[in-house]
Amino acid sequence: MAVPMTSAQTSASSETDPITFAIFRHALTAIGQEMTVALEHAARSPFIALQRDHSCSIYDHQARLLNLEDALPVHSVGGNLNILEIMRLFPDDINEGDCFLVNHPFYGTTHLGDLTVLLPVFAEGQHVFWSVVRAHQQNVGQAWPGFTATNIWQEGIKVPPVKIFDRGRERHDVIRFYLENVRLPDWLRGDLLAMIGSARVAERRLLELTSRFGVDSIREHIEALIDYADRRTAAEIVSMPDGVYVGEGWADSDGTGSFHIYVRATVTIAGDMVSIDFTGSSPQVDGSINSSLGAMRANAAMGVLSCIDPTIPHNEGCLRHLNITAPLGSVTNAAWPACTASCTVLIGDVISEAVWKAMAQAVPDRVPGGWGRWNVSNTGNAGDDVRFGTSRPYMSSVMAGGSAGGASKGFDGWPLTQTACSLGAMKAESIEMRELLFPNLVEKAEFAIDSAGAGTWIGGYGIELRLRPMLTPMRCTVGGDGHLNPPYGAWGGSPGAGGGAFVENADGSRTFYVGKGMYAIVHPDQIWSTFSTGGGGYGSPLNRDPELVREGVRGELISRDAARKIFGVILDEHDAIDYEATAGQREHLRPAEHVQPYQPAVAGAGRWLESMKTGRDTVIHEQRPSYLNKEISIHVR
Amino acid sequence: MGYRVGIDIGGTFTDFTVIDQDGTMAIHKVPTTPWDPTEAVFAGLTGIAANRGSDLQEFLAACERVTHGTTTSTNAVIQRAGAKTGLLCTEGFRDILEIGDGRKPEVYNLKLRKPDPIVPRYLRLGVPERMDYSGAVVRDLDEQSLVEHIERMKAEGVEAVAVAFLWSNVNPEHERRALEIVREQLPGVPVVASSDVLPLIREWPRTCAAVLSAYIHDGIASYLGRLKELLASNGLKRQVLIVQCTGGSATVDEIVARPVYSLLSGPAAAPVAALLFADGVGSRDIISIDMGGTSFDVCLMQHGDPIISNELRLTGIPLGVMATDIHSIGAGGGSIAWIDSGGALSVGPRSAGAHPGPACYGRGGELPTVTDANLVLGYLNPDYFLGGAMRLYPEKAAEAIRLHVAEPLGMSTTDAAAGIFKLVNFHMVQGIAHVSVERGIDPRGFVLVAGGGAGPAHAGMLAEELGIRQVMVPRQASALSAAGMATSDVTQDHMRTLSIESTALTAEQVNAIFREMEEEAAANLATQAGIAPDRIRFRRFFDASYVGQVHELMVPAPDGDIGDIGELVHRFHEAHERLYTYRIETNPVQFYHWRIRAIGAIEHLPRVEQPDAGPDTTHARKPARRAYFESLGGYVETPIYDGALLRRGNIVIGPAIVEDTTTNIVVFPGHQVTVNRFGDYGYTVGSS
Repeated sequence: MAVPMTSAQTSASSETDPITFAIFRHALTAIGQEMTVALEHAARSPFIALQRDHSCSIYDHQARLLNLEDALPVHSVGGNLNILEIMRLFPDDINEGDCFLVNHPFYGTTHLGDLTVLLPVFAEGQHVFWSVVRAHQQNVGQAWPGFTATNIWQEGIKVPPVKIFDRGRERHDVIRFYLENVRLPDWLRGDLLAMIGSARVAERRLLELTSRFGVDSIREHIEALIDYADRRTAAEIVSMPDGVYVGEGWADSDGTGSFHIYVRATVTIAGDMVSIDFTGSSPQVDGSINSSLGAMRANAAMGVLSCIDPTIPHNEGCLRHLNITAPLGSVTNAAWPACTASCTVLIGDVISEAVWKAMAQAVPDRVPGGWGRWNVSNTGNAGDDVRFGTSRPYMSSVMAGGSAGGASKGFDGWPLTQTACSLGAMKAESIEMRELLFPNLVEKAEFAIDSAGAGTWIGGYGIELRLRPMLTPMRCTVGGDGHLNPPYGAWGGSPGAGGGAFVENADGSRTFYVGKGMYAIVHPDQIWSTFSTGGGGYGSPLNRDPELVREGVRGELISRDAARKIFGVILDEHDAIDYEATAGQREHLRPAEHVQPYQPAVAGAGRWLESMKTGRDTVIHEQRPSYLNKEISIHVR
Repeated sequence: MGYRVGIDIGGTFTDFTVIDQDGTMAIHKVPTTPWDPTEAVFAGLTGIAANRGSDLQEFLAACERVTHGTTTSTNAVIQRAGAKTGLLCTEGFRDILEIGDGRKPEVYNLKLRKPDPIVPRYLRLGVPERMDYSGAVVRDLDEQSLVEHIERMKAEGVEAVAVAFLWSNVNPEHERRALEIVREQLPGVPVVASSDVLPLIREWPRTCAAVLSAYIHDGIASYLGRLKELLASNGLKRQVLIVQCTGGSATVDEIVARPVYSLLSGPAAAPVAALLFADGVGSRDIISIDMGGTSFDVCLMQHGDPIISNELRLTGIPLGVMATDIHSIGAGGGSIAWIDSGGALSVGPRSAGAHPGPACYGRGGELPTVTDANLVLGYLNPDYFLGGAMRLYPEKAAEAIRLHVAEPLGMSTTDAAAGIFKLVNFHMVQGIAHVSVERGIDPRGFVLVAGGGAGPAHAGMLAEELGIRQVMVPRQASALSAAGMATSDVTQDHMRTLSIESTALTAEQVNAIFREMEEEAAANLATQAGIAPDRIRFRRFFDASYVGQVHELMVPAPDGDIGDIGELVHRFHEAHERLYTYRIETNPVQFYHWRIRAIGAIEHLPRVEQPDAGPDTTHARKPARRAYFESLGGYVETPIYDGALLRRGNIVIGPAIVEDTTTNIVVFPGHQVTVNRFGDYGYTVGSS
């Protein structure tokens, strides 16, 4: 409830009084929330309607971010790039009643999947705002589902900025052209209507706001809002120790046989500025994990924005204090015509992780243990639903099996946070909704024992999910990351357990899949089983409250073995804590050497597969597809 | 006809509203007794009886309705002080309570505590059994393991059991059987099945509704049982009714069967009263506010219907049920003003409560509160608080503010008090904006009905800042919830799952499912609450989406039978377009849930109208005192009026203060109050 009373903190300029300023600020937040509800409830496809893989944000006419409170971080921090491209391509041709559509990653979008609707909002004849709705589409007309593309033409239809409404007139031709190039056009049409509807909801509210305050006053308040965030961000960064900090991370693979792809973040804190540079990262790869400029900037920014006071509004004023660069042609900033289809999550999580690891050295109390990455269950399943007489094709992402978040100083991690690039903003579908909408029977969705990184505060638990197709086989796309390079533990905490996936046969034997770019065809007598990654721990597990360790053992989340060997807690046969033995064990286990900001600091530390595999099981590894070696490059624009 | 009584136990005061046979309303207040809330109930009722020259036996015997709102269960959840609860769930799904919908609120806040799941994992036990989406049995219930799990719970000393299996909303057979076995094995231990509490799709809210119900069952059952017994043994011949989170009331038996409906119920009654009082100004677009000692509750009503929501949560746990959407913030008369680590003034959410209370109560409270600020600013009369029943100590208030706010901030005590007043108003304005502006509703055309002991001192300023022109302060303002309880209808919600597409659904099916629920509800209301069938009306709703969409919309269905399914489909298209800007006429509609609300309407007594006494107010003048008004540059000599003497037609021009027995209206400069035909205060912002 604390509201600072000094004028320096409550409002920005003498023209704006604290109350009007507060109303304006909160009105923008509320509009973002209202847009989100309108989109989520009206959308057809599960990505948007169930899983919240979408963002609604508001920019001013100069492409300055004004509100992002209710958005997925990766979607909106770099969203100004789309607007700048529109301004470049449509000089003097942005008019009242226009509405733009774009998904092209080389025109500022995060990746092809993130279709974006941008609507200029005019009041009193002047262009004042942009209302922007970005939502992950269930399909983009790619050649094959999954991680198999090796250039941008195979990834699907590319939409550079186009007008779908021109001065109020709907461009049926353009919309038809788009829908003819994607699968499930009925679904995607519904989604597009929902996105336009959401942008219009914002337009309606923004116009109410401008008619209440007047355009001139609105413009003053925009400046005040940006200045306010600017000032508060500056104060936060000034309080951080100046220095140069380096963090490293590795993606498991790219889908075409390259493993342990390296990202290096050099974070320089100087005065009220944070500079992030990715020089030294791997060159871009053949597979689809290369980052677009927009996604890289957003994921890098998240690594810093999550370390400052969360009540500071995330607008242009914050972003002014970040200077983010990456060499063109690296995996962190791919050059045309690289594939970027999975970059939001699959290099994105490594980018933010590398920034966090650097920031951990500057502000140890504020940076969490590592977060689990986009999990193999999320990459999806597809098939035909024959339960209701007809045969209907379906596709879905199984978010109910997603990865967990890391611990923070003082707080255990949350489960099912999916990916650091969403910071927990996404939703998972209910088990029952999944079974009603898709011909899947979920046999299990439970926390996996010892999957959370140990620590004084433990990470969230990974989830074991067992999925059986009903009546007809389903095709599961193998993807996901963080299995070979699990989330780091911070300041003495352990990394989360890796995770992975296998098909379990009727005879109990299992086929494991390591890497990406593969499919598993699962029949009704088989089970698709995924283990998601647990979050990294924070602080030494030897300092965890023994009572909480006991609770974990009783709840079958911490094995007795781990309690003894990792947490140093000894329980007797009645599950009571033997305090004396515990003290001795903890003394015995306490490391002599200096605690590192994060561990592991090497590639390929995941041990999940080894811990699971038995002699009866087989393992299929990601391969380099032979056609890649033969393909003639015709990268000519 | 007898007395109708509403009893609302707040954090600071226990409020009573009594409606006499002739329709006059009176209020009564006693301090809340947190160690045993019934103590305050009996003190209050005894006092009311004495005021009528009667004794408790005689008064209770003459009561036609006693409706009670309780925070017992809400507090039990907040403090995690409920029963030691075990959960029997489908094997493989032990973690539904912790997994939730996977969404972490406050995205950028990495230091957010996970909600405590109420049932620890070692008491969440998976039973081999399974239904599919159609209710067909995939795996039989393994009664042997069920019994073993119950044994384990017994050994652990479990005091309540929730049973929540997947798809029990479609086929409750396994849950029913499990219920029987638990009852056999654990006699006397309350057990709640999710299909009895919330038979809707989505396992998380359904499991939560069952767990919450089991968790609070014994607490609420024993409290209400004791209350019922005490009232009956003291002469009450009628049933005690309990207000629910839907704003309607229910019998004790009904609440004990579905305890989740008692959660967050207290504030849900205030809008019922607000609607009644706003009749005086002929408006049904209302924002009701209730500012008590600890919290500030807001509810918005459009066309007389409060906004309802099935997304209410308590400490992060969803209730699942359809409830009146009340927004609550920690701002009340008892809210403590303090200086945060950054040197900024803050107010609340911590409250001094009733004990020790604000510094000015002189009960040992040393920290400055909003009430202390109001006293220093001259808005309260130290000799006429609660009609003079309680003395206030201005010097203690000033000292607390000086010591804890003014000195640290280097300002005068007056400026500090004015800052506290302004800051708490700021929070309340935000609270009102949350239910209006933030939902895209412009509050300016609404009537602000101000309730709670502290509300009317602030309402004029809140209205001015929000651009609201009309405020209504009922005579019963300080007991708004209690008044709502005394006048609330008896209601019961029923629901069913039938997931089906519009192309396969017939009007006969729809009519049958609604009628079945209505008959069940009517039978319940008749046997439990003695409500005659002709006093019951029904509202029908359905939840639907377009086929392929996955979020359903709750849409009102026509009253009574439909002739064609098209009537529902049409209503769905309309609702979808209104909310989400588009419709797809060619798309079939997927129906999920069917709901009815049975309303046993109580007969409202006509309110007593006063004769017009004209604008003159000299008869009500009390000695003037100095009060602080920022727009006038500081303290000014301010006229004071005795509210008890103000009559219909009397006009009070601001700056002024109206002192009624239990509330205090501050009429700010440029505002005015006109007493309406029922004696309530019509407050206008700006000259009318």
